[in-house]
Amino acid sequence: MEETVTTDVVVTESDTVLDIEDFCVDYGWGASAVRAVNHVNLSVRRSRVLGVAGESGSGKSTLVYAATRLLRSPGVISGGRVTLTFDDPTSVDAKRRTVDLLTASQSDLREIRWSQVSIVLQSALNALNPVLRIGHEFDEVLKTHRPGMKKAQRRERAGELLALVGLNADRLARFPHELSGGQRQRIMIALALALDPQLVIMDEPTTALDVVTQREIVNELAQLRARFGFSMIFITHDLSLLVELADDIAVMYAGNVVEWAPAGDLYNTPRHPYTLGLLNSSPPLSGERRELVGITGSPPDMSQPIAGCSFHARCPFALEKCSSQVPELRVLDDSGRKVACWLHDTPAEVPVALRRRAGEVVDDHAPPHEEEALR
Amino acid sequence: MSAVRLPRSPKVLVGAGVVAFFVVLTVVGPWLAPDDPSATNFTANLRPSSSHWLGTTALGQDIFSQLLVGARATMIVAIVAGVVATMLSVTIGVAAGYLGGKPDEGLSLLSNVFLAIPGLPLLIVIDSYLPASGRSNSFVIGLIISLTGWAWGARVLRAQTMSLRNRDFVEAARIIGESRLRIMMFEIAPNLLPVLASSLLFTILYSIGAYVTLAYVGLTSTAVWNWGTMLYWAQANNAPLANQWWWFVPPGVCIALIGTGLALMNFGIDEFINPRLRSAGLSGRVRRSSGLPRRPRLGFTPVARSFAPSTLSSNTLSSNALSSNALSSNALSSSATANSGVR
Repeated sequence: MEETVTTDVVVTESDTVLDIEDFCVDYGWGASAVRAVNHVNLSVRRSRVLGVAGESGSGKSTLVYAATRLLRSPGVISGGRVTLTFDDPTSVDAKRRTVDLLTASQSDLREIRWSQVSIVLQSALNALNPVLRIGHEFDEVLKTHRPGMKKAQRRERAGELLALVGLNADRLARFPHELSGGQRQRIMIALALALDPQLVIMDEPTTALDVVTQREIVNELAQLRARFGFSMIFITHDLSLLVELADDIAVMYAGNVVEWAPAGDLYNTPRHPYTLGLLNSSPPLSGERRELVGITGSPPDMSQPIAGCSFHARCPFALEKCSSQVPELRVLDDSGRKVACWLHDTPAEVPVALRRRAGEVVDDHAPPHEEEALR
Repeated sequence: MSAVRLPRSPKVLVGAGVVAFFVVLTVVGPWLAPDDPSATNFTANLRPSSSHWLGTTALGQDIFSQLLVGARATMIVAIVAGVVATMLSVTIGVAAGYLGGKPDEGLSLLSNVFLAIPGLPLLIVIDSYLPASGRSNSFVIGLIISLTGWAWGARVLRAQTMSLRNRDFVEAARIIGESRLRIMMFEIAPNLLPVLASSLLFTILYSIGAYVTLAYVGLTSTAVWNWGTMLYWAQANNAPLANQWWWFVPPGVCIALIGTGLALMNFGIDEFINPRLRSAGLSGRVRRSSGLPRRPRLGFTPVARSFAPSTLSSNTLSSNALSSNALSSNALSSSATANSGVR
């Protein structure tokens, strides 16, 4: 790469890449519409990783796909605002540009996609064309977006990108079926980074892989992020994996963000019963063994109107008003974390599991330090 | 939501209506006919009037009766030929695609030969060898037409089958030991239904054309009334020259109508092949007025802010819960503007 590698990216708190405000997404229209994402507010800070967690069908993928206008029919965006802020490389003074993705034209979107926002899909096998060599995939995108590059330069760049994800440049001559699942997923990541995007969306990129490969890829992503300073949205149902990588985590349930907190806080001191349930149902990566407890029941039928909190039917701590009144996402304490739960209205009655402080837990399932994850 | 959603676009409804009308006509046509189509006891060359809705022929026959009676033979031949040809094309196409190797080579050669032979001359040759009883039998004629109409469908189905045969679910069926016949019938064939249905419609259309042509050139029994024989007699009596439009236009219009109906129905099959084309059953007008595109475009999710979801407008909540619901969503949006997102 021509540019010097920056290991330390200066971040100001208000510096957001993607801003999602009051965002609503429906499936279907009119009377048969089902609300899949309900008044969600989220933002992705520059060079930071936002993790989105939740069960299957909680709306996490719908949220991200709709925000980037990739959601397929019959998905319809029914309200809100999504803005992308990026440094425009085409303008003379490299001015920062803000684009409203919901009003953007198709040609605007075409320009932004891949060069500013790229996506890594879950199934690398289906995403790569089986009849094209890997090198061709790189060549194609570079040819389109960097018309000034010569053939030899494109080849060199493709080799560099493969080296970034720990693959040898001779893989460029291979076909997708000749590579393992982990290698294919790495190629997808390298492809996503081909044009130095400012935001990379990872839609369960490691779900199909074994835990060892998963770990390797997550570590690589953390390194790449530290090196190039792109922001990331990482969608997964695996909270313990997310803690390794994410700066902030939003937990989604039935189309709502039910808890938002810095990753460590969320992992050590969950405040929403659903987050607690998610954490209790996956084994900690380090520390003592403990009993795994699942969440009873299954996610609600979104085509039926839900009275009150969407989680109340499965919540072990549900109060009377949980079944009639909808809790809103509110700032819980001065650390800025947010939770949508009635339990925290009366601090005295909060169950022990939901009011632990970080110190009280003696390294039960503490996440590794951020430095370690970034190293 | 019902399990099977029928296409609701007006195109499909019109098409299905037209085809249904002619199918009904096939059954009841001969009973509805006011006169014997062969009886020559009327004044010749009458223009359409209240006593003879479509006028009379040069021989003094009632054209309206001929049209009604002729519908039956035309439709029977078309449906027999369409169904038999489609069955042939499934059998040959799926077998060739799934079995591969030598069977594929043989069956492909066969369909290529039938594709290469011009259909109409072959029909004329076969037809001229038929005994008179065969020529007047709609089923026999239908079978002969199906012989020339299956090859195109077989080629398409073979290609589809080849793309399906290496899918995981087919390989799994092979590994657990399902028989070839079962895999072809129950694993592969259901996936071909959309193609099959559209191939059936077009084969029916082809068969109508072929039968009418045969009759028009005089190769079917003139004792059996169909729309082709009507055209044959009209031509033989110089109706076009004499400007007797009421003689040759009605059968032509009927043929064109059926063709249009079948083609319109094919749009519905398009929607079945790609369920994403179905847009929750909204008409184009409703979609336009709500700011939605007529056809969904990939990578360009529509934004429709005016649409209220059903969960808030029509529901079974008590009014108490409903108001708190609305209240909280208001509060949420106002907090959103004040705070502009989670930071």
